[in-house]
Amino acid sequence: MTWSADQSIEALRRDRAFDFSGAQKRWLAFRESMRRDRQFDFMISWKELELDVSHGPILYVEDLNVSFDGFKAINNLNFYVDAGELRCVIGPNGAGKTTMMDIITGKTRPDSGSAYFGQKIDLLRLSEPEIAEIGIGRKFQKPTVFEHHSVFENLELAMAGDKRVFPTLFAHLSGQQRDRIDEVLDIIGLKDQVQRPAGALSHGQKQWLEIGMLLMQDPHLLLVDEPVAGMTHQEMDRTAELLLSLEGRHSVVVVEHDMDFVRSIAKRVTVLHQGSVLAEGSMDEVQNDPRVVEVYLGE
Amino acid sequence: MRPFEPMRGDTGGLVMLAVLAAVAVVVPVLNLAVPEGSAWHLSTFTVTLLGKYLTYALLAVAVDLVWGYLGILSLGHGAFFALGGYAMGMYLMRQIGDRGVYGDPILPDFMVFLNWKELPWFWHGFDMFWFAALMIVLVPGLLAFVFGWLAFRSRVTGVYLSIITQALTYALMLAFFRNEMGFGGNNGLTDFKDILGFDLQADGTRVALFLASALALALGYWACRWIVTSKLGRVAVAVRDAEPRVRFIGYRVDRVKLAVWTFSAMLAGIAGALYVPQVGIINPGEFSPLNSIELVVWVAIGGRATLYGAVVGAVLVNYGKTYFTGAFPEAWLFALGGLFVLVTLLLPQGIAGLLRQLRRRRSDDDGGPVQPAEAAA
Repeated sequence: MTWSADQSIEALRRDRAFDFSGAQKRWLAFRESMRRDRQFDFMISWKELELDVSHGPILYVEDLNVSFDGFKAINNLNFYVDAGELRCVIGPNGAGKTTMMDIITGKTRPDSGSAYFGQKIDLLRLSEPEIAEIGIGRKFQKPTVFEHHSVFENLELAMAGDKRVFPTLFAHLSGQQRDRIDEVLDIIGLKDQVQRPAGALSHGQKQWLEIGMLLMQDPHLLLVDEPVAGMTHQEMDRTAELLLSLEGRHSVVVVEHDMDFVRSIAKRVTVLHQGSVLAEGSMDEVQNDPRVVEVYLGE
Repeated sequence: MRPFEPMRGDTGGLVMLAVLAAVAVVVPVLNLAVPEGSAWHLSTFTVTLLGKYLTYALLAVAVDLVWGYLGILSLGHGAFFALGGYAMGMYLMRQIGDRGVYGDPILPDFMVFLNWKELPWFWHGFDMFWFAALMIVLVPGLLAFVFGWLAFRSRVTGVYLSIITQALTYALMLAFFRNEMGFGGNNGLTDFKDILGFDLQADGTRVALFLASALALALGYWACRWIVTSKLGRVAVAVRDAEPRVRFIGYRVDRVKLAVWTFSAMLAGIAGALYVPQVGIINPGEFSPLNSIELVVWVAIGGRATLYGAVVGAVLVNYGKTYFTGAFPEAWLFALGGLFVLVTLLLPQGIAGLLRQLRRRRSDDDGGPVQPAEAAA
């Protein structure tokens, strides 16, 4: 099935509206109303917290700056991702790829600039769990799965739903939720490993499990950091297939070093260098860009 | 809700509960029904000693819940135990009435001795058992809640958190040593006469307290099992193993920690409240950091993240302590230290880990799923 941008946006808007509980919506609206730089519209409607991708992009990162002890990790970065797009980000070590992901997911706060999810949600004002809840999922560079839990339990924990303490204490799996877990197990190809502890999986299987956990969260935007590091060729092909199958339904940003892999999945590639965007375009355009050749490919 | 659900798959726990039930039947019979001269008679002293072990076991279960399943090494759980104990002690003090040395109908002896004229405000209400019972869980719970809220929200973890829990109990010890605090200073609260109208020295009361401790242990154990087998328990173990990941999945890690931590402190408070009427005294020494550390050693020896291991560890180490301090009073600390070194070197998963290994070797079956507890040590 091919997806046009419009269809993707429509799909995102239609089936994937947030499942915030009422109390949480009120709380977020209240917090938003307490911003000191916004005195007058003291009651902001809950609708403001809904994902608005009507202009195309799902992620807006503008004029971002971060420095660590004087080192400018991110330097006036501008970066946009369209709804339903699969975007690859490449760049030499220290180009700011991971830092950018840290900012989007709320782990690091920038010195200046803005990051919006859709047109209305200001990511810089939300905490990590809140960002996870509005629909941004992240896979880390080093696979981090819960090693002492089984594959099934890993997926169960990641599943979208009410994640407050007491609902979690009384939670029971519904048939529908089991089906969803089965579905994801099929996608990531770990069906016959369900009861194994995640710590006993191979490196590649852990990476897939982590992608599966992302899918269970049912995010609008997936940030995937170096998914094929340390994988064999077969595993890489499988991962490429997996990521391509997500395109359209989810927006995906993949950070990767492996050029062959990037070529196999990318339609648009962004090259980061010294904390800002050096070039953006198709893989061929980017590879023929003299500046990119100079800093990155070095040939 | 099915009450047996939490115990499914917990063979060690079921064996422990069965032994506990048997002891709870046999001990009262041997004490009350067998005549004193008989070789089978169990002295009231022994009954009380066993009751004390059971309260320690409950305390150890509370520690194992936060250490084994949440990854918080608390070196200050003795503080919650002691606070529960003080709440019970205050009730028992008020029950003395005018039978104290100074015969004051309201003021406990130490207040008369300090020349106080009025009961401090925080002693009001403790003449009623229901109020004291409420305070036994509320005071430790509230302290744990405030402490945890500050610590977990600021993401204090690991050894730093352990150190501040240690500082917490130390600070409380110093505070309770002061006479002006109004808790009897370094003498603490003692000379209790009766509880709920029953004479504390009577055999029947002693046996009842022993049974109450056994029941509290069984219920506390069950409640902890219920938590660790729930989805929240799996989230807690995930927090223990990979805290940042849990946050990115969308759980509020600080609240998960706060809930389990506060529950554990309340359990410790109940253990302390059952401990005090059996030993007959509560003083600031119970806040001593050493107590809290010793208690972590019980859990380590019994086996972390198994819950029943904590019970086994607490009972065995305390039995060893009773025996050693009687037989070779000087050797006890060396024995405890040596035991800890041996267990760390030879049995990193404690006694529970050893039992599991033996069982696996016998059944020669290692295909089953690995329990979260297994690799926790």
